[in-house]
Amino acid sequence: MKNQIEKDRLKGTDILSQEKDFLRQNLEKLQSEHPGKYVLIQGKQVLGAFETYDEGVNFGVNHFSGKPFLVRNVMNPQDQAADVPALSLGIPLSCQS
Amino acid sequence: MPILNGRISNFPTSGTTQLEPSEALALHGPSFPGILVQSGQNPSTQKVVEGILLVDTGALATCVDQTAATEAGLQVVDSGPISSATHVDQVVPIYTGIIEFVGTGISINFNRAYGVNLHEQGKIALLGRDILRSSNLIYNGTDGTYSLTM
Repeated sequence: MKNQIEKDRLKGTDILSQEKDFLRQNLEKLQSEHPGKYVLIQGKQVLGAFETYDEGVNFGVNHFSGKPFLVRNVMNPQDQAADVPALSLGIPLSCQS
Repeated sequence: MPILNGRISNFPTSGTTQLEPSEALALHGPSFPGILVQSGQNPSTQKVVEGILLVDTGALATCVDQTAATEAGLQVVDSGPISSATHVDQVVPIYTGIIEFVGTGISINFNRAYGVNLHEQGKIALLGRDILRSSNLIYNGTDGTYSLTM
């Protein structure tokens, strides 16, 4: 799994593409079954639905750790981008003088 | 609330020149020695990765070094795009885990830290505004000191 993450990072691919595909393909069903909830998906299986993101993550860590899983709100299923100017602007984090 | 006090006085410098604390802080930023560990694991089997934690008020989200996260065995719980100087909107893993400040007994549980390349800068994590939202940061540039209250 660790090697796969490193390979994906180098290729720029997504370690959770299978889970995201499953979420997209089953979104309407999941929204009707778990409105407003955070679903925990591993592979092509829904392993739980939770009130909060943290609840989903903590449950997953305690029961399904080792293999990557996805926790997403079914009403807000898209990727969330991170804004980190130090990385996006290429600002050196430790300047060499 | 626990208070972390910092002063950069023993970072490596170029040549033999010893930087003044104010210069060292301007150069390196407010940093603390820290470790990354897995969450939800037996402490006796937890893998630990040591390194430098940099407080980054410009970062919306906390980031961890991809290599350190892999070594520590952090759990992937999501993935999302992040822009970098070399990879525009690259999708990277998002991790859950624990950051501990060495020698203080203070730790932070995080559930969304983006995996990025920081090890070339000697860092294991950037503490972003998601973590800092529950803290007070005092930056004393003239004295070269800083305090973080968690």
